[in-house]
Amino acid sequence: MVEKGDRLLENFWGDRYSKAEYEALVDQFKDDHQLEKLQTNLAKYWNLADGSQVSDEMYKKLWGRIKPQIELAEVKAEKSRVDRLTNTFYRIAAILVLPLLLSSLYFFGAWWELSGSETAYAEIYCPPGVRSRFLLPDGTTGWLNGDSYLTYPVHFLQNRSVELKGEAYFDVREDKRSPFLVNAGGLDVEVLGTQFNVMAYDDFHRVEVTLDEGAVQVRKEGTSLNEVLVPKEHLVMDTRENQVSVKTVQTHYFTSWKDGFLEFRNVPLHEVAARLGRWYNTDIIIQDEALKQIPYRATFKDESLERVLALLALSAPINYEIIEPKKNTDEIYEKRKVILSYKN
Amino acid sequence: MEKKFDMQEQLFAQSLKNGELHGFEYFFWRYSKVLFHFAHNLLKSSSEAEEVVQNVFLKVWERRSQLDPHQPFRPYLFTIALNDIRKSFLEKARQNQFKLELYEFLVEQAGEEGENYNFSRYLKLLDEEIHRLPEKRKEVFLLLKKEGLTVAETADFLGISPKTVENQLTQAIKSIRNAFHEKKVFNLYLFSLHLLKTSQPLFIARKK
Repeated sequence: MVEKGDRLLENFWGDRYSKAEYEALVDQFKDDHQLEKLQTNLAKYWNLADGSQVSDEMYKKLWGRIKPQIELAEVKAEKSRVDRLTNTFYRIAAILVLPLLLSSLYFFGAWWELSGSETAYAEIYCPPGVRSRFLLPDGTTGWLNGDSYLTYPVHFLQNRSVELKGEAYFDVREDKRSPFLVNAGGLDVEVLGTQFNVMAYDDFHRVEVTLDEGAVQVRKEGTSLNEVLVPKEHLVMDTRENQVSVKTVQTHYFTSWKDGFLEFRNVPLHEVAARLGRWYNTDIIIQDEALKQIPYRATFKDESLERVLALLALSAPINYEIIEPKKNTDEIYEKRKVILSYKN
Repeated sequence: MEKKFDMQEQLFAQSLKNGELHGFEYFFWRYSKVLFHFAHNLLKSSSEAEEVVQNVFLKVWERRSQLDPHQPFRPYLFTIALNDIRKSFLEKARQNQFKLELYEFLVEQAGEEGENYNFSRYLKLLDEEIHRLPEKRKEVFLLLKKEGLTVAETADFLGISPKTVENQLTQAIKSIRNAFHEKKVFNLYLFSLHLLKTSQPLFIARKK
């Protein structure tokens, strides 16, 4: 049996209610004696709310409103040392820097987890449109690209292994006794101490490992793959064909995203679109099949999406149309869209 | 997945408790959309949902020292949010009072019994129609209906004649009524209701 209060809420939540139902619900909200019941009923909807309908534009608006207030409150409260450091850091940062995990926090968490026997994991996520610095408990640092996840066990010092979805640049702290392992798209990259980039976005159907310094060993479970890379080598594994190629490259084409560059050298347009889409948190749709394979070269740094598209249209036979997000019926914004089509 | 997230959450909860901005940012990033969605579905308005997100997260920041990092954050946020949302909901209900009265009036004028119509659709369309009224007419309408002024008070306040006030109100209600008629705000349900009401006796009548 559905309770009466619950039915009222259900209808109200779903925008199907009569005037009498609305009035009954208002009475419930008013009545202090029924507060506990109301709370129980609302909690069900609270647990279901996921916010995925809410646009990133709305998120930016909300954050843009609250951030200055927090900073103000912070200055008002006390001029404590750590806070001010963070504060300054945020002002200097040219881009939005998300979760920067501090080792002290890690120790706190690890200590707490010792009681449980299960392996617990921490996860760092970087949303589209943003790059994020990260710091692991062993002192390894790096950058996480937009729409990427990095997962690692909290007992990290005993087991230096991370799992990557998306793209990251690692600067691994050297520790001869404990190898550092990156698992990405089925590939295992083992390192001692080095700087390298791993790209493993699902939609590209390949994993790329680009080595700046040191040495890494790339393996894949269940296969005989066992490649040792030397600096400036670039390994690509096609995850659908299971084919591996290694060549020497100018590594910055594959790693300069961490410094805010977008570099394309003979990259097919559909991949350019996918990368730009992640970079600017926009859906970029290519309307004409024939356009998708056109190779493209360009380097961008700190350009707006509008400018990047204008430049793109100058050097490739395309027209573009930007569709600003409009409110859908729930008054919630959709993602911005760009449509690329063939220029006649 | 949940397990992984919870671990991360505890780390950031401690960071928030320490008063670090990135700890706060983490929770805002993870839960502000959830809260917005929840508040929006109860308050039926973007701007009011935004307001709730601001107020609630400011409280999260102000009360950070009381935060228990070992407790899950989501239920904690709910207890803070509930109070704010309840307040906004009741304020909104107060502002909606005149719409309820107008509803009865319009239903009666349409010659119907008004219980079963979709009230949320009515509220939405009424807001749209009010918004669409010419500036002066809208002002007169809201002063009279929403603020509850008398005709004389409204005339004084706007410096126009009581006759004009009455005229404007008549015009306002007329355009709302016409729009409702056109959009079948009341008639749409009416059709199916009549079917329900009449099918039974007809059936019996035939049987005889």
